[in-house]
Amino acid sequence: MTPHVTDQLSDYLDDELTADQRQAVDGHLASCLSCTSTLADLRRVAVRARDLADIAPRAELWSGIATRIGAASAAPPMHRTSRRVTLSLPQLAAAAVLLVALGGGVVWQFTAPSGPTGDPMGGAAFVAAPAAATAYDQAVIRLEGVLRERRDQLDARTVQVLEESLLTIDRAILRAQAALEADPGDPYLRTHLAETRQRKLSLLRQVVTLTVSS
Amino acid sequence: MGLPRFVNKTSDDATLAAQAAAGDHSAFERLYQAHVARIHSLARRMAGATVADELTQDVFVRAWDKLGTFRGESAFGTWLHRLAINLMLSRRLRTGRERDRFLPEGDAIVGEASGRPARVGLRLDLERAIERLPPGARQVFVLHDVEGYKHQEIGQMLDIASGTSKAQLHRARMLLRHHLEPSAQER
Repeated sequence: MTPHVTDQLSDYLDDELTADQRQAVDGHLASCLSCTSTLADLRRVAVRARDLADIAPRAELWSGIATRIGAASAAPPMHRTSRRVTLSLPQLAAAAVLLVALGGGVVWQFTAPSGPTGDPMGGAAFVAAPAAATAYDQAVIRLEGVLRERRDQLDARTVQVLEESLLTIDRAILRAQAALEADPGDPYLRTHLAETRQRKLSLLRQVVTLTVSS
Repeated sequence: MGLPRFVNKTSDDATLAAQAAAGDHSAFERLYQAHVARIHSLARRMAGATVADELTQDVFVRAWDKLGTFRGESAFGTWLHRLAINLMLSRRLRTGRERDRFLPEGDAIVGEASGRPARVGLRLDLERAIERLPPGARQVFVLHDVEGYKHQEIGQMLDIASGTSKAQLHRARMLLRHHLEPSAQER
């Protein structure tokens, strides 16, 4: 009997041998039960691998993806993705700095003498209206939800700064919306509101990214 | 480059991909629902169950970021699959190290490859057995026998010679053959 051809059996199975090599393997297989049995095993492995069924993940993964791509409105409540979105104190501090910076800019733009006038909020606390919220507005709501959930674990000053910043920004956007209602044809107001909201969205994505990278 | 297992071209996918590229999150979620089982299974087989969830999320986040580069020249599923492969391979060293903390090369599955048959009671199903393969053999096996890539393509992906890919595939099959339950006809 010729030497066993075990090492060539996968290539034989996949038709990767030359004609001469294949002929030699065929000759050996004709008289070797061991190699014939091994070849049958390898064929069975390959067939079963090809027929493996795809299985959906047990865990719900979309909410984490939605958060990271800024599609917070499509995601279920934040607590279902706590591993991904837990905000550490340093991250909250960084987020607060970013939001304060943006909030200050927005306030400046909408309280400047040449800007829109009036304060539709009258200084009252901002309360988001979920039914009317855009995807971005809901992202803000979700972040606030995380803050409420994590309040006991966070530095009080950090939470305060971040919440105040969010409040300031939302007030400024509502002022812009009110100004646009009074003058709906103003292209500057339209562009400005859209850009401001987009800047907020981008900023929130950055904050979420910070949480994900933790 | 052939992708016989993952060609899932549908006009719905193309439409949804265009909508998602324009910023439509709900369209992207529908694409996610259509393809998540495929991507998660690929991640689990390539890198292991412990990191499959994270990898799957990373793939879809990367896909969202890269939607602007999807031109519709291939099926969305094919494009997503290749993106997933690239991301998983780029992390294979790190995931390999993580896995090896739990499954060293001297794992039981290697010992049984010497020809000693596994006891029926200890046999693993194929999915679990794949996860227990050494990283190099596992990746080649998944790419070739599960995903349908050719050795030349695998060699380019993994930056190895075709001969090395063939050797790893044979090693994987030899390791796995004792971990298959006999089929009904074989009993």
